[in-house]
Order: sequence, then structure tokens, then C-alpha cells
Amino acid sequence: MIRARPCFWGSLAGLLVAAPARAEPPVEPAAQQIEVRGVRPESPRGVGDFRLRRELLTASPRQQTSELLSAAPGFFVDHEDGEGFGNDVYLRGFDLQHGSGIELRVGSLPLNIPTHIQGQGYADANSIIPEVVSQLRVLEGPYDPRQGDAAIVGSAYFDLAVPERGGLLRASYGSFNQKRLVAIVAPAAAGPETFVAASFRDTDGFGQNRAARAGTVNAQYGVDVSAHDHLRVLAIGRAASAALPGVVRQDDVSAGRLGFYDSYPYYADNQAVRANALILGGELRHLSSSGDVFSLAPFLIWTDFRARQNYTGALQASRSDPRNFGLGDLFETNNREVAAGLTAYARRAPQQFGTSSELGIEPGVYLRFGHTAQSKNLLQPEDLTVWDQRLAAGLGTLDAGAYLDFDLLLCKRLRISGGLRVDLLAVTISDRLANGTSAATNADGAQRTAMGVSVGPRISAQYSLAKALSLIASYGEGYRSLDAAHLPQGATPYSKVRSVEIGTRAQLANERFTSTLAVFETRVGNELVFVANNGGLESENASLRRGVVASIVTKPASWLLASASLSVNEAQFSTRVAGVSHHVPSVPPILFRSDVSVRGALGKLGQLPLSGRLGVGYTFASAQYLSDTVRGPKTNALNVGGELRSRFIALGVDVYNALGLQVADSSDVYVSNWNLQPGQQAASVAIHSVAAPPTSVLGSLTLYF
Amino acid sequence: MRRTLGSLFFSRGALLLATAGLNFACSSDANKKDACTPDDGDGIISEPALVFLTVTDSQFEPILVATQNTSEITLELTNEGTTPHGFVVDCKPTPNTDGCPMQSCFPRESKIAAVPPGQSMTIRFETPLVEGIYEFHSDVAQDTELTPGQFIIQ
Repeated sequence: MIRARPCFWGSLAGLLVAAPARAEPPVEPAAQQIEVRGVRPESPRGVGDFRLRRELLTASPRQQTSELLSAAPGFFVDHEDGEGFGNDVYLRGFDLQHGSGIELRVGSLPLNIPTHIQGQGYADANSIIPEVVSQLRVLEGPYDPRQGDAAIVGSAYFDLAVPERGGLLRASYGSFNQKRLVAIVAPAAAGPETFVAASFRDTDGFGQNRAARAGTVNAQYGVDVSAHDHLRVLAIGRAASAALPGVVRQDDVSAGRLGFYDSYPYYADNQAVRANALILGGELRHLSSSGDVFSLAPFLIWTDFRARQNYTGALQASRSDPRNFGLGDLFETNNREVAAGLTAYARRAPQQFGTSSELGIEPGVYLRFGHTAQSKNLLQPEDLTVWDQRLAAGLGTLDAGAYLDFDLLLCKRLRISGGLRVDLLAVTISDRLANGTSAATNADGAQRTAMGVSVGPRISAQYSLAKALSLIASYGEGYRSLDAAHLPQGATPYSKVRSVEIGTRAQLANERFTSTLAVFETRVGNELVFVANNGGLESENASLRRGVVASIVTKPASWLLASASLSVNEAQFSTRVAGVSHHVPSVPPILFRSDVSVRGALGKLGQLPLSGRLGVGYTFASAQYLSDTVRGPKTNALNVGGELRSRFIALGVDVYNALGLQVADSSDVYVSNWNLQPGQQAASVAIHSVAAPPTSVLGSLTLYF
Repeated sequence: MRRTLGSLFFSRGALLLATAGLNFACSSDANKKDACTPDDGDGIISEPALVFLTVTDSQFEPILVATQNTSEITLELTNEGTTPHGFVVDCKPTPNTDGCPMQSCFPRESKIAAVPPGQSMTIRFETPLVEGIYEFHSDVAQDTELTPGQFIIQ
């Protein structure tokens, strides 16, 4: 006969009648525990809740901040040579173009732009200088009530700090005349949160029309304003621009008519991207003597984005005057937004019930309002004059959200976390072209409004089968804003996501071994799919993803760190045509990543200690579906890097795409009439690719002072 | 018999896991559809469009017309040549072994008989559902040298 353990009933009685008592901080059963100035971190949510220290983030070469996400199991962010665009992120069957679909935050500042013209939830993490990222928390799945707009597949939160105080000056030079300069000043008298950092990067690019340039400034100041109050202020500024080569047709490359890294001689001129951003924010946090935390974090965001891209050659005809045609399909998309808002929460210290149970509660609010000016025009490639307007809209957006999160630990074994998040989303649309469907409707614009309330329950249950082994089940409903400029009057302005996962996590103490296995299913109300002839992403109907993600991170010795993850998934979406569904394009059904790094003391160089680091990162992505019948090539990417340091000076070399393979950054199947002859030529279906960088070598000299 | 919370949770969890596994194993039905439902690459349909087409004695302008499928098209053909010219869109083969139609055709209303020089004719029709590149030409007997154009259904 199995005897009921008294723990559960005792705890339940305690919850109902007993006077709560302040609890001692309990042992976190799953995710790595990080203490930040005495504030207890959020409890883990789901199998895919990882906190990645800098050692793992730098285990293999990663030049841009977005690439740091690849350190998390199941993530893949490819190495880009250009600047200006947010990187594409692959995770759990999603190809998140320009980050649209993963919620990104730095500190308490949201980075996503909910109604961006290049994808709802667009985010460019490269506004953060990678050298100042101290920790990254990723949440795979929408299982935490704190997760807001764009958390379709999950969230990634960057923490900034410079633990090594003093100054850093790093100069890098490498392939394609690539130059990078980084300077960090972190006064020794201040804490790790306080620093000023700047970076500048310039490259000629690895082929025709790929020159890029970017400058970024990050400044953060953290100070204790009293024994219980801490203030942190963060400023981010970035300006980036790059020329773009456009696509190449595979049939032209295979026939030797055009090089893989070349650009077409006609209609491909003046493709480029430019992105500027200024983000200001702060957080005032009060930690009471009883352990309660109150936080208020306002923010102000200004972003200005412009891209000029031609995918199809010269197929388009003017919608306002159909007598104009064949002038080149160079789409210019503009998105300028000013937004402000705040996050605030009150996290009560866990209250103990009985001897082994506790309950923590956190109510919070989120407010973001913004104004966006969007336009989409067709330009003549030679002189950039507008020959057709497709969109000219002003958007007013409001997201007012509130959540209640609870964290219940029963019998030290069962943790149930979650709660409810409710967001009121409202959009006002001033559509100056009334969607530009004809010359007649272009004369007068239209004013529309759309409003909806997203209610999202989220819950995660974690049961410790043994000290180092947990069984975890999670369910969550999230949301993502829709393409606001094309919303009809009275429409619901968001798309719903529902996700469930079941899995296990095994974790030894001291982070020597962590392993996870998760089976997931995610349903999204509206899928974003690339449509070449419309010059960007389009909202389609619902999508469904199912898959398995497994990961292992081990540190068997202080000098060795190894990680590997395998993701197998299936992704389908329904088109707007009833009964027609497709594989979601550009999603690799199998994704494998592994990083191995060794680091440690190597002896002495004269009187100075000498240390070294060597890292290797390997990625395999199986052939992506370009359509239901056409699949792209497999991807094998190997990055290798190392560094030698003798206290004040360090020398490093990073090699990207060390296998020297010709890899496409993106591939799609569609109709175009790109040609090496002038004028409007006949069209045909082909695979179109944008090349990823070939083998790139970057050497660095770093001075510490 | 009373069960511990742990065993209860574990058994429920195992059931959930088994259900999810079974569900996942049977997951390939998402792409099921009527075998004769044509594919739609971009998932966009029903976008009305105006098309202005001119024809000379040597070619159509533009030589490419791109519209969405199942969309109402208003097409005006202007003959700027010296002889009569017409407009007709060829059917597109749709080979299959499912017993479905072996070709996709524009409707009868999309055909324009010979238009005299200097004159125009306007027609309205709905584009077919099947995407792809359809060739159009003039079916006037003397127009064998007239360069055909492409009607792209997206």
C-alpha cells in the first residue's frame, strides 16, 4: 500500500489557513541560478529556459550580437557580413525573418518593433555591442506571463555588464578589408553594470555591392541610490548602412552566366539598407528588507529604417497608372517609429507554507504606445525616382498589458508557475492610399481602427523525479501584432499562438552537466511568409509546428566546455486559399549545433601570465523546403577561433565558414525575369539565392588598461 | 487506495507524453488536401487589377502581365499597329495522374477578336486558380511573326 506523504496536504492547509512566514531562499531546481544584486531571479519556465553565461556565449566565434543566440539549444543565427538588417533566427521550426517572432529585450528595454514593415516584431539585437553582454536568458515557448508581443516562439533577454573593470581597446582586421574597432571604459570605482562602449565596423563586403558600415554606442550606469534602491540607466545608439547585391538565379549561376557572389547588371542597382536607432531606458528597483521587489522601468525608442530591394527583376506594373510597367521592381520600404512605455512589477518574496512549500506572486504591467510612418514604393533603379506607390500610412499603436504571475513550490518537488496575461491592443490607421488598389481609391485615404484584447494563460509544471532530474510540462498562449497598415476596420490586430511542450531536464550541480529533451507543438493564428512579388512578408493563415529538441551542455573540467543540440521539426501553414497548405519555407527540418571550447592558463610569458582560448562551432541544417516540391541545399558551417592573452594584451583569430563551402543565406522559388540583357525579358520560375559569406578570417588585437 | 501527488502527477504526465507522442507521430496530415486543388505559391488570391496592353505589328507591350489568381481583371487592348490584332491566352498543361484536369485555361471572356488599327477593346474576366506562366498571342492568321507575351498568374 502506498502511503500518502503528508507534505502535500500540510502545504495545502498552510496555503488556506496558516499565517504566511517569510521563506529562506529555496534551491532553484532547474535553470542556472544567477543572483543580481540580491534580487531573486524569475523561476524557470519550461524545458527551454536557459541562462547562458559569457563563457558559453563565447565558446565559438560569434561576431555579431545576434549570433550569441546560437549558443542556446535549438537556436541558429547565421553569420552575416552586412549590417542594417536584424538577423534571421531559426528556432523550433520557425525561420524568424529579422527576428520577427522572438521577443528580445536588453535589461528591461524591449527591442521588438510590433508593426514593422519588414515583419511584425522586427528586432535587431546588433544594436548591442557583443563585448558587453554578460548573460543571456532564453525562453523557448510562450510559457511566462511576462512575455509580451512577438514572443511567438520565445524570448531572449540580454543582460549587460563588464565584470573586468578598466578599459578595453580592440582593433580587428580581416577578409574583404573588414575593419572593426571597439572601445570600452568601465571605471574601477563603479560596479559591473557601469560602462561606456563604442564600436565601429566597416567592410567592403565579399562580393559585388556588399559594402557595409555601422557605428554603435552603448552606455549603462548602475548605482545604489539608497540601501534598498538601485537605479540603472541605459542608452543605445546605432547607425548602420549596407549596399545589397540582390538575388542570383540558380540557373544563371549553374550555367556560368553569373557568379554566386555577383549582382545582375540591370535593375539590381541601388539596393541598400539603412537603419538608425536610439533607445533610452532606465529601471528603478526597490528591494525591501523583507525581500519584496518593486521595479519601474520606462523607455523611449526611436527607429528609422529604409530598405531598397528587388527580388523579381522587372515584372511590376504601376497600380496607380497601369500604363507604367517594366521600370524595375525596386521596392523601397520605410519604417520610422517613435515609441515610449514602461514595465513595472511588484514581486513579493516567496511566502512559506508548512516546511517545504512556498508561494511567490508577481503582478506587473506593460505599456507601449507609438507612432509609425510607413511607406512602400517602387523606385526606378537608376535615379531612385518613385514610379509607383504601394503604401503610405501612419499608424498609432497601443499595447496596455497586465499580468499576474505565481510561483508555487510544493513539497520541494513540484513547482507550478504561471498565470494570466491580458493585453489590450489598439491601432489607428491613416491609410493615405487606401491600400493603393487602384487609381480611383488613391485619391482619398481611409481612417481605420482595430482593437482587441489578448488573453493568454500560461503555466508550467515541473516535478523533480530526483535531485538532478525533472519532468516538465508547459502550456502557453502568446500573441504577435499583425501587419497594421493592411488591417480592415474593426479587425483584431494580433495573431494568437498556442504552444505546449513536455520534456525532461537533467542537471548536475555546479553546471557540470545539463541536458534537456522536449517535445513541442506550436500553433500560430497567422503565419508570415515571404512573397517575392509583393516585395516582402505577407500574412497567411494558421500554421502548425511539431518537433523535438534535445540539448546537452557539459563542463567536465574547468578548462573544457562543450554543448550540442538537435532539433527535428515539421512546419506547415495554410494559405489564404481554402484547403491549400504548404511546408513553411526556409525552415530546416533538422538542425544540429555543437560548440566546444577549451580555455585556461598556458604558463608565463616573461613575468606575465599567459592564457588561451580555442573554440569550434559547427552547424548542420538539413535541406530547407523552398516549396512543397523543391528543397534547397544542406548547410554545413564551421567556425573556428582562438585567442592568446597576457594580462594587458590579447591576440585572436576567428575563421568563419572554415570549410569554404558556398552557402546561401536565403533561397526562395518564384517567378522572375532577371537577365544579363537590358530591357524587360521573358520570365520563368527559378531558385533565387542571396549568398552567405565565404571563408572569412578576422584577426584581433586587444589592449586592456 | 490513496496515491501520492508525485505518482499521480507522474502517471498523468506519462499519459500526456504518450498522447503528445502519438499526436506527433500522426502529424503528417496537415498537408492533406483535395488532389485536384491547385497549388498556390504565395497564398494570395482575388486582387483585382487593371491591365493596359498595347500591340504593334511586331509585339505586345508590356510583354509581361503579372496578376494574382482568381482575380477580376479589366484588360484594355489598344492596337497601335497597321493591321488588326487580337488577344488570346493559351492553356497551360497541368500533367497529373490523379484524374484531375490536364490543363488550366483562361475563361472564354478573356479572348479578344481582331481589333482594328487605332482602336481599343476592353474585356473583363477572372484569372484561373492555377498559378504559373501562360503565353498570350494574337490569333489573327497574319500574326505569326508577332512576338507572344507572358501572363503570369501568381
